[in-house]
Amino acid sequence: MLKITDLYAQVDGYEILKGINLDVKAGEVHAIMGPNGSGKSTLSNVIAGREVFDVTAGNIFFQGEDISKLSVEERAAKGIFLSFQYPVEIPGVKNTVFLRAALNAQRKLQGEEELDTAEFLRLVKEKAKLVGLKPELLSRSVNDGFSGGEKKRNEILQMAVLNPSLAILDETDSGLDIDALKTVAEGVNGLRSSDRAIIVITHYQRLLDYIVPDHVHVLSGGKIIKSGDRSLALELEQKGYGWLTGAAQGEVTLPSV
Amino acid sequence: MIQYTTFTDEQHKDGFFKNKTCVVLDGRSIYHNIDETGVYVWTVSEAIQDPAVGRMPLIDPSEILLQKTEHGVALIIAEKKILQEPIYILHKKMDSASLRTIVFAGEMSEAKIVEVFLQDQDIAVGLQVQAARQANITYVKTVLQGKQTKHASIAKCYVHKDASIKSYTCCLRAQTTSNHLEMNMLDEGAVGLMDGVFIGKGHQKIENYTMAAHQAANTESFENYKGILDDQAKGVFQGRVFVARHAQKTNAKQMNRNILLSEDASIETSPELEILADDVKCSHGATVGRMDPEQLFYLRSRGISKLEAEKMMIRAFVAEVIEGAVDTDFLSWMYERIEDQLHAAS
Repeated sequence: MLKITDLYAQVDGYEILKGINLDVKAGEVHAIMGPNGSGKSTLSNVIAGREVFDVTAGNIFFQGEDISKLSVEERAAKGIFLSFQYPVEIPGVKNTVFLRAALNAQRKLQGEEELDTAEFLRLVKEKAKLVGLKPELLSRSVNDGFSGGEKKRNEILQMAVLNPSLAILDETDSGLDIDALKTVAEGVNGLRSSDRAIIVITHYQRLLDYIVPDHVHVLSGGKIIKSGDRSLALELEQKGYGWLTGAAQGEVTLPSV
Repeated sequence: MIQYTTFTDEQHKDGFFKNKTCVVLDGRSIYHNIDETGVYVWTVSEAIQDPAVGRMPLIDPSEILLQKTEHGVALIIAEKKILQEPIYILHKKMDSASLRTIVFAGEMSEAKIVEVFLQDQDIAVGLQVQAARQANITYVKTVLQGKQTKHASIAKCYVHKDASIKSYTCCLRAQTTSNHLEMNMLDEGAVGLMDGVFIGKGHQKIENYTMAAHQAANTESFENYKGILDDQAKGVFQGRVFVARHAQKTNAKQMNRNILLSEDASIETSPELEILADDVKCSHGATVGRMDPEQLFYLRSRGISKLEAEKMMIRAFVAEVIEGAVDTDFLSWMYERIEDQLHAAS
């Protein structure tokens, strides 16, 4: 579904991604872990197509197509969804108005009919229940005055409504208490399917107790320095990142898978 | 001569006004379709002979050469008259380079008035709005003149005991616009609101000079102007707040926020406070910025096109100041005019 080959990216002339290789297949859940500043959020933003990041080398293929030149909204319409680490507040834009514009814009680009108001509201209310978002937040401005947990639930609601093929969850666990974490994880797990892939970006292994990954990658210094299965995450929790990053900075280069 | 009429389609080329209550000024003629007791449409010369209306302080002749003009219209709203539907005053082609508008609202009356300048010629306007005790008046001004024209205005609002005037100033089209708006809170419990939106493109210049004058204790004023400037457009916002010595417990709030859409667009914004009383609450603030790239990215990352995302953000930006004006019908018309203005070739 997503194939990244030898990807380099920089912002303001400062190189952040230094040769990323990643292959994510439909139905899989990948976790990308790493210390602060390792390039995790940059990677998710680059996949989503954020223009401030300059891709200097390498390719991003999504469903076999090179998407490197596509705009943010074109990538979204192709089915790439980024759940933000810090969801943006947009005072004055009503949550449902935003979500409906997004859904209809995507449907239009895919050549589908727009949903009418009644159909749309039915869909949103059903999904809001699923992710545990209070219904009154639907008629408020996007994320405006939402608590940390409400913002994250709102991200997962958008994901549930937009029904993407690839969902990238950037630090979805940050700022969540354990109950909120559970509902959000349930929401995500409810969206796991054989034709969808999920990339979970996280600093801590905690979230991976609830969203169990098939593959775990460790990102450090703009490169994936180790890949493995779920046990890698557990090992990281015990030993900390120093165990790997120390090695990466030294002479030994770990094989990247 | 003022004529009552049922408007034909020809007189209402803009479909929006078709089923609205309107006063239309076209050349020397004034037509209206107001068919209600308690609302009177007079000429300015009739109005100033009326003992009540005539007592209203008139515009200082030195300010603008308006004292000579008796062209224009006066809307008189009787005591306790509650108008549900807004009245639109439409200015089409004029014979006169200057005109006056008078709104006189009797005690405990309520009305919403929207004045729209549509003409393709320069114009100087004098406006007086008076809200007698416990009257609640909304007055909206929309400048939609020809692209090459000038609009200059002096507006004076007088708010009496426990009354309110909500003024909305929407400056869209006209090469140069210069508005002087004065809101006088004359007696206890008076509330004056001055909200405004201005959108400049090309070489447009839009100036708003406002004054909230608190002449009595326990009065309030709220002011919020939002500017969006593109290309080489220039904006000026100068907001004065005056609090008289005896106007204790005044509450005055002022805000001016601006978005610059191009490198060459500019805004000068300055608050001026003259506070003679010592027990008051006054706040003011001004911001100048660009469209928030984080918000733009967020909207686009959900599949909304850049153009559509910008529209949503502009709408959200201006919504705060015009959401409360008139009704939803007017608002959607206004948003369309705003979007037309933003996307018009400059």
